[in-house]
Amino acid sequence: MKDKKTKAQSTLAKDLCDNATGSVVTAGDITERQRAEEQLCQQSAVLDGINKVLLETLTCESQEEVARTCLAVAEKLTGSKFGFICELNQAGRFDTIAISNPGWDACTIPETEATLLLRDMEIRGIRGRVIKEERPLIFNNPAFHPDWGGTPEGHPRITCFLGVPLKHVGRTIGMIGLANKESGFVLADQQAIETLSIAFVEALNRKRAEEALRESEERYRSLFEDIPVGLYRTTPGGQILDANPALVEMLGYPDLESLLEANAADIYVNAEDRQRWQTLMEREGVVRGFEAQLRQHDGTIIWGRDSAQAIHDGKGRVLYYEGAVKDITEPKRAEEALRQRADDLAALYEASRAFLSHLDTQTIIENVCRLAVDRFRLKMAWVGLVVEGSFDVHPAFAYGFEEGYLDSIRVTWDDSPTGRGPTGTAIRIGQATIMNHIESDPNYTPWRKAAKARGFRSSAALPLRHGEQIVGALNVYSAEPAYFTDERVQVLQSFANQAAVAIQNARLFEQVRVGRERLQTLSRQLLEVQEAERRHIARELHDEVGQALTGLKLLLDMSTRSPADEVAANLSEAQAMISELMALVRDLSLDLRPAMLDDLGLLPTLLWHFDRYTTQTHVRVTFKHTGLEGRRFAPQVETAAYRIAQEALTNVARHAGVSEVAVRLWTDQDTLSVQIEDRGTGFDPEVALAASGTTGLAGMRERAVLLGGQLTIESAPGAGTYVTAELPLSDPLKGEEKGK
Amino acid sequence: MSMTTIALADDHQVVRQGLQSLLEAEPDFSVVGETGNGIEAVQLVERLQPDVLVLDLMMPGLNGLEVTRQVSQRSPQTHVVILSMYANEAHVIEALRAGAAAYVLKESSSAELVHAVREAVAGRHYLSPPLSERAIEIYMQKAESTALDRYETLTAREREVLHLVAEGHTNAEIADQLFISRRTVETHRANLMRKLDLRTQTDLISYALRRGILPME
Repeated sequence: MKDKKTKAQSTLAKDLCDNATGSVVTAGDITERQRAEEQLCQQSAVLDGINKVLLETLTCESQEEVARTCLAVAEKLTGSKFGFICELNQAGRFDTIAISNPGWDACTIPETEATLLLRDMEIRGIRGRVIKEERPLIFNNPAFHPDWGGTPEGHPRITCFLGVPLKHVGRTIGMIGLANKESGFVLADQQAIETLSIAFVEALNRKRAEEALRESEERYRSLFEDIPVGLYRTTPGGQILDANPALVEMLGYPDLESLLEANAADIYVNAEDRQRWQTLMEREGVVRGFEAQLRQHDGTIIWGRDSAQAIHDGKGRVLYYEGAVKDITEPKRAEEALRQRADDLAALYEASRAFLSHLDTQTIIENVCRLAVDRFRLKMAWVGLVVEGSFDVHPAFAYGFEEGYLDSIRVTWDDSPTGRGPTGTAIRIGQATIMNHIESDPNYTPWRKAAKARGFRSSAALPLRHGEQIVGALNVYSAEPAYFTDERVQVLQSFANQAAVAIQNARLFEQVRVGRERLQTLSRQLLEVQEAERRHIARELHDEVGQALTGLKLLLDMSTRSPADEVAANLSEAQAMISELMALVRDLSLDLRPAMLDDLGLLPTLLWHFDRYTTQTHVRVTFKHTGLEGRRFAPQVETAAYRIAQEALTNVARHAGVSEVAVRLWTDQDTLSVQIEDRGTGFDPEVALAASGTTGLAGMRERAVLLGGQLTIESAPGAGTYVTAELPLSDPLKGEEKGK
Repeated sequence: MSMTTIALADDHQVVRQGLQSLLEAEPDFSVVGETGNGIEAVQLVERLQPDVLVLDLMMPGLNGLEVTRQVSQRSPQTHVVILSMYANEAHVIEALRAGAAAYVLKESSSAELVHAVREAVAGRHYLSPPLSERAIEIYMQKAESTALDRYETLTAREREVLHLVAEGHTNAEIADQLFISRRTVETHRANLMRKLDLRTQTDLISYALRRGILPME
């Protein structure tokens, strides 16, 4: 409205002015009239200038542009060649805002230097006079003025100068200078510029305020955009009003728009966290260092630390909340890992102490399972041991939420469906094996149903290693999927390694103890056997051989004194006695050790022995064998097999009460096996083995064990007996067959 | 009448003297050398090339069987007569295989030894009674491999376990069914796998199918 009015006025003034210049007036007091008209025209031009300054500067980009516009108006109005506008800076010196184009063009100072010269200039010369006197001054012959300080080199000569201070609320803030009006400056010029200066100051100030505002907005925006902290504004209801890119990225949203569609409550993993935040905010108006779990767009959980404040309107009502969130997932994780690490070390320490305090395998295995479950927060743990010579895994102990799980499953360690679970794989490849998703892992199929029924979501198996050998696995189950991280498995493996060492030690200790006991029993038995043998030989020598020799001696004595016709009969009798004696000695020597065993090998010796055995005991031997023909084995293997068969047959004859016994002998690449089976009375092997001596079972077993083999006795009262010896042909130099 | 040259090998001086006088009582027999050691016996025969070597089976240095073997190679025209105290077929067979012509028991009469030497020189075999060709045949049959079926070596329990495993029962189920501990089942299982020379569950199943333990489908 105001603008329009101003424009209307100025148009009127212009018309008057044009008329004035365009026509010749012939009035009485022409000078007076002319002066009045000139004055009116001047006023109109000033108004027009003010209008122009206020309007045109609205669209100016910068203060300099505003100042240039002002200068252009001032130069046109006064008819001066060039000019400048400058302001007083904080130090009370000049900062040039603009030099009009004719002035800039007139200036021959190189631009870079000129720019420097134009900033922070000392206030002196005729310009200094204007600032000092705080009023407009005209210098129509400046070079002769006492304040004249000259111009820099290359500056055009100044013929006349008009300086007008720029004032704001009565205070001088700068000045405008105009120069080189052809006819020199007049008072009208001074008055016009003084009037215009108010508009100049207004326009410049307005632009300055705008610039300051924009600058601060820009500064805020760039902070908001660039800061590596998530910034946001939300309504008390949780609507997200704004968020910076850092927050969008932190929460994993594709863009700002999709985040703005979410509600703050959706971001919190736990609803009570948001509730707590809200309560704090309502009570305190500010929240500091609030830590909570946040959910990313894809569901991933992160940790955030939030500081926020409520922004109120003039009446104290909450407009919105403004806050900053920092992603502290990593520190949290590190903190958690550190705590976990401390726990793990404590568990390992406890484990080593617990393991060291026992020397009983079963107790140690039980401790291993208990500690694993308690210290690693597991659902269940069990130790499976490899059954020697088979692919079966024997569950030695389980602890935790087992609920018959192990009875319902079968685990092996071969490369078959029952061997491709964590346990079998860990044993087969000798490395920790993780199944973090029982739900979906194809290798878990045979056990999935049973595992799911008990809430097992992930599982891992850690091999138990004794040197090169894997003796079993520690198997652990968690109710959480993906529970077995690399770090956790690493610690569990250390735990399992300790357990393996403890189990190994206990086993060795047991072996040593059992071995020592067995050795004691054996040496006692050996002595007994030796004594029995000696007694037997002594009796044979005395009773049989001795007696025969005595008889022979008597017979020969008699012959020397007999009449000639009886000598032949006596000698014939002596011959018969000698034959008997020879047979006796031969049998005795065969009982001690059949030479055949060395000369001819196991098979002929056994065949010979069976004949003799049947003759002596009337127990028939059914003999079957395979793979033995023409083969010789190491002497100790042949001896052991022969002695075991001999001993077992003796037992059958003595105790079984049968008339028939089966002997089987077979061999393959690396084992010689002999088995004696009867359908007789049977016995309890444990009892018989414990009652050392009489049956020689312990001795038989010892023979097999000494060669690295084994002897199994299966018998029960009334159910007959199987004695099976398996002897390795291991020693590659001596154990190879000699062939013939 | 051509003379039969004889060498004697026995580690007892007394026995050698007895044998020499016994053999030289025959007009056409001549003992040309004697020794008490197996190695010397081989050298002696090689040097003298006698018609007959009367040899004790038990000799120091080199046993009778080995001496026989070497003599047969180095002096093929020498007939070996074994003297042995072992009246068993296994020894006889080994002696004959090594190249002996006659096998005479030490408890035989002197007339029998002379007879054996004569048979040997004539290129025939001679065995002291009760040894006979027939007894040897019987023995040979016994010594032949009898094609032992590995299944026979399984104990009653192992057979039960084999059947149940083949049917797909777990160790725990088998233990319940047989009223034995799970550990015992595992042991039986390991034993039977070893006896049957099976390595994997798959091997076991295919064995069970082959043996008709599991019905073929």
